[in-house]
Amino acid sequence: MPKSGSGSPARRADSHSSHHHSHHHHHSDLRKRRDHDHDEYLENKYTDLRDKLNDLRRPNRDRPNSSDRNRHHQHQSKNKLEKTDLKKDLSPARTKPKITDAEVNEIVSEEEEEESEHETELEQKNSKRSNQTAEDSSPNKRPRSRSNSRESVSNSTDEEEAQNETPNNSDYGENSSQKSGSLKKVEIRTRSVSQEIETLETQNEIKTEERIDLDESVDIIENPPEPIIYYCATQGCRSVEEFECLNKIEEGAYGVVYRAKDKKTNEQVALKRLKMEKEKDGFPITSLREVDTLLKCKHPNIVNVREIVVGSNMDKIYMVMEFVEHDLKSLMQYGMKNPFMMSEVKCLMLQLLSGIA
Amino acid sequence: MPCWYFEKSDLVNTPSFKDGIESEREARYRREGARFLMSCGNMIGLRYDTMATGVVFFHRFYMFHSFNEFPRYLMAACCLFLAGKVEETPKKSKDIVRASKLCLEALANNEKTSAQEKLNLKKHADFFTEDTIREIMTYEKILLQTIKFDLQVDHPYGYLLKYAKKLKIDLEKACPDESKR
Repeated sequence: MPKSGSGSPARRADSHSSHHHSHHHHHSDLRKRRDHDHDEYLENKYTDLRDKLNDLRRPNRDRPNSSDRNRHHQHQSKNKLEKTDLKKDLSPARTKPKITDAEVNEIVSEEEEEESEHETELEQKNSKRSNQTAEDSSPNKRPRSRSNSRESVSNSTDEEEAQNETPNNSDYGENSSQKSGSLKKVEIRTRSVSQEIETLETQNEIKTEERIDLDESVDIIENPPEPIIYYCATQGCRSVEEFECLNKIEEGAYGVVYRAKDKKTNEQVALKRLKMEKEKDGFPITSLREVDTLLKCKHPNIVNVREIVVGSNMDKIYMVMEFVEHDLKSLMQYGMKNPFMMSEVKCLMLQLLSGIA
Repeated sequence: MPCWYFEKSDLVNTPSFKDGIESEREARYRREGARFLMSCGNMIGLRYDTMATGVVFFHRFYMFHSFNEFPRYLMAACCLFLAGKVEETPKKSKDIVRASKLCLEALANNEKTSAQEKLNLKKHADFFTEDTIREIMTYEKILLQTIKFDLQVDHPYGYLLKYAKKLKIDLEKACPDESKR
């Protein structure tokens, strides 16, 4: 694939930094690198999306799974509305799309029903961009001004945006670039370098997070492409490395339980490692029973086991369970000033019984 | 829970097919594996449900892996081993290996099998040695991960039996003449 856009953002960043302050120089490097990362990111994304679309065209068996994931993703991006929003603003403008207009349009039309909000927006922005390259001035005036007005609103809250908008604007004409350029000068002066780097870093983090997320969802939808080597992470259970271990909760005869965070969705989960020591004849039948029964149990009063993940060398098996803040035993032992009221006892008893019913 | 219904295109485009095994040959491999699993299970006296579960594991496994990658008779033995545990009729891996070897040798000595087939089966039978137990343990782990720990398999046999019984009663009512049934 030709990397048509890779040269221009770097140049832009250069010229941009030259007619501003001296402290600007040392992070122009950083920005260049980020631009480059971004190029790659977009390129990956396009190929991913195309693959995904191919898959979506035919009804797929893992569909519910993937839509679930998308919903998750949407939710997540809403949480980070501020940052992802501004990123979306920049991303299409930075690089030239690596696919043709027709393809983009096709993707947009299909995307609208299937894909998550974020991706749709990205594609739409891209189609806008390609309109602009065709020098069609009237229709792109409107979206531009819209995002400008949004920019001025959020300028006060996030300075990063102003800075990033500048290379953006240089695409659209001298006027706007000068205007926001002068605006930006003021902004930059007030901001310390370290703070800026910090924001850059967090942004980068968000990008990589999203990239992983996309990759993963594609993997799940797709059939394993060519399974010559055994990749357990893509073909079977996920790897435990997709979770970040936070702390140990408790250890008992049944195994060790950790509190962990899903690296993609940032959800807290409890990871329970199955004990495999007394393994004589393969996978212990007791663990097998446990896994099997718990995976089958779907009840609001039973801690849900979502999936099974495996350790790096396949000998550790973890159950991913929903994380519950308190347990009744420690609550009763330490956390109670007064004993439960009758109504509370009744309620708890009801939940308990409906769980085991 | 993973979904085990496959599209027609997936059924044609299996990992084995991508690995250069033509569809007919893959179908034969599946048939052979399943038949071997059944006779092996019969030999150790397992229930029918256990063997059926094993066969289902076997078929699912080869929807994700190629027959070139994992030897089919070994995998079938492994599926039977796991199915035994899942269906609460556990058998020792040692017994399964022994039965597998016997089974393959019996197949090889059958008059119906061709000479080339016999050679092939003998070769496969030689795979089953004392070391096979450890191999089966490894394959079991891979199998568990491939089928994503979705162990419970619903079989139609129970329902079939139930309906058959029900239908029989109806038949008696509907058709009292026994010779016409």
